[in-house]
Amino acid sequence: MTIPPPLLDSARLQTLIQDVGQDVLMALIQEFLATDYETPLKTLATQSPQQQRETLHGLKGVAANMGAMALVDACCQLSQRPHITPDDQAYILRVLGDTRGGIRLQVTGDRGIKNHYS
Amino acid sequence: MQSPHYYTNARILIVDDDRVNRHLIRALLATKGYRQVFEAADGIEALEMKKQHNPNLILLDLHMPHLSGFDVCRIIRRDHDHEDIPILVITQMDSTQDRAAAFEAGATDLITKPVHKDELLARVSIHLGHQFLTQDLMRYQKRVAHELRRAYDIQRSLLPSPHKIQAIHGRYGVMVDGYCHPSTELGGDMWHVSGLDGHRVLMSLVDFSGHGVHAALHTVWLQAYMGHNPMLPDENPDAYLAKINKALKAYMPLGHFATMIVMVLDTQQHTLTYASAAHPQLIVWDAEGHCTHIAESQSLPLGIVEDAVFEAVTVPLPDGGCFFAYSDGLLHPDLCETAFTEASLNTLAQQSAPEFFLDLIKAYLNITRPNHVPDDNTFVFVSCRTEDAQPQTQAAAS
Repeated sequence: MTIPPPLLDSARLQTLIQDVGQDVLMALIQEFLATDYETPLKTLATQSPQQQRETLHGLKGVAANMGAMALVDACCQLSQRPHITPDDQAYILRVLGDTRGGIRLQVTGDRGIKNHYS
Repeated sequence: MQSPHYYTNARILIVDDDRVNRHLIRALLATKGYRQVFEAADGIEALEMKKQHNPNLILLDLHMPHLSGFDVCRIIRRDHDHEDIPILVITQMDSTQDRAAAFEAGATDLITKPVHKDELLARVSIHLGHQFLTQDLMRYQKRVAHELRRAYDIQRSLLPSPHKIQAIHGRYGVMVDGYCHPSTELGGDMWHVSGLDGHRVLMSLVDFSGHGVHAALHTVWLQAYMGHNPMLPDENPDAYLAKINKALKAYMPLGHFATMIVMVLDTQQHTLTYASAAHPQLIVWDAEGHCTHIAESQSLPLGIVEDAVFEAVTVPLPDGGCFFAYSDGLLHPDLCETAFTEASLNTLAQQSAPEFFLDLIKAYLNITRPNHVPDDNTFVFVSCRTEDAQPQTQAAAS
């Protein structure tokens, strides 16, 4: 049985806080949350293989930078599929939604970036 | 190497279609003080920004709309002005194909996603360091090449001009065919011709040890010395060589030396008087084209011993006769491993007419000249035909 990766790599976020500071990280997260990654994913199953690769590759890159482990894993899985089905498309949209939720919690939760480090 | 602070003035272009990625990298660069950071959201914008800001380094994502990072890489590498700019490709750890293709397209290095601050800053700093060092070296190389070219022109201007050679011919009926080609930008060979008095012509050929700038400076020194201390009409070549030797011994650093031959052609007595300081052979032909004399020097080179003694030798040189003096570059193998030897030159001189001999030497030098020859090559071929003389043309010949 494969153990699914954690939704977010909290160590990565900690490192980013140390590297760029809380304010800059907050701004980056706000940008991540504000960016529309959903639109291209909603047509993923009907895109050409080349477009699919580019969509998934782009998303995987930003997910890796933000420590979104489950999203990186989902992009990797779908990149290896010969055909991406509507179910696959729904799956990655769900993981993206979960990631956004997780990140919001990381920011605003009791032990989140906003409260914990302020 | 420049100080790290110097690099923070560098212009860096970040190319990524994801704004979050661009801003993260910008923020990481800012921690090290990099302020001149520009962003492009796709390949086409990247090329525009490159043209506009002339960055010192590019951080490039590979997968972008419109124009991929691979294409951007290839286009930049084709641009002569930017072919050396460091391009650091930011790629996924698992994309082995991407990584190989990126290098093939011209990437300088790779940074993996997720981007880690220490790795990013270290790679940026290393490649900027190389870039600035390369630019400094290129500027230095350009300056030195320019200066060497000017020095070469100056050294060439010290050789007898065609006008002067023509004047010598007009006044004395002496035809001088001189050749001087350095093995690098500058050389340590030099030859000289001037009128000594109403019927005698002075010629010399010198070859300083080594090649390049120091040897060339010695030739300039000698030219200046001979200008201030010309051979006197009542002076013999051996005494003149001894005088030059004494001056060179006092001037030249230890380990430097020169071979030299001084020749006086008397168009009235029809003689050639010469003295040689370890210089290669002097070959003389009579008017019928028979080789009549091959001289070899037993004396020391110049600049070794202060009171060195040289010997003057006088041989007949009838009207229509000729002679050939050369530097030992002719005896050094070129890149094709071919060369004359003293013995082969002797044989050639004895078995062929002087005109054929000269043509062969010229053909050989024309073949070897395009290569990087291992030594400076110089010769003078002099023929005497006094019926050509028009003694009224005096000024330019002296």
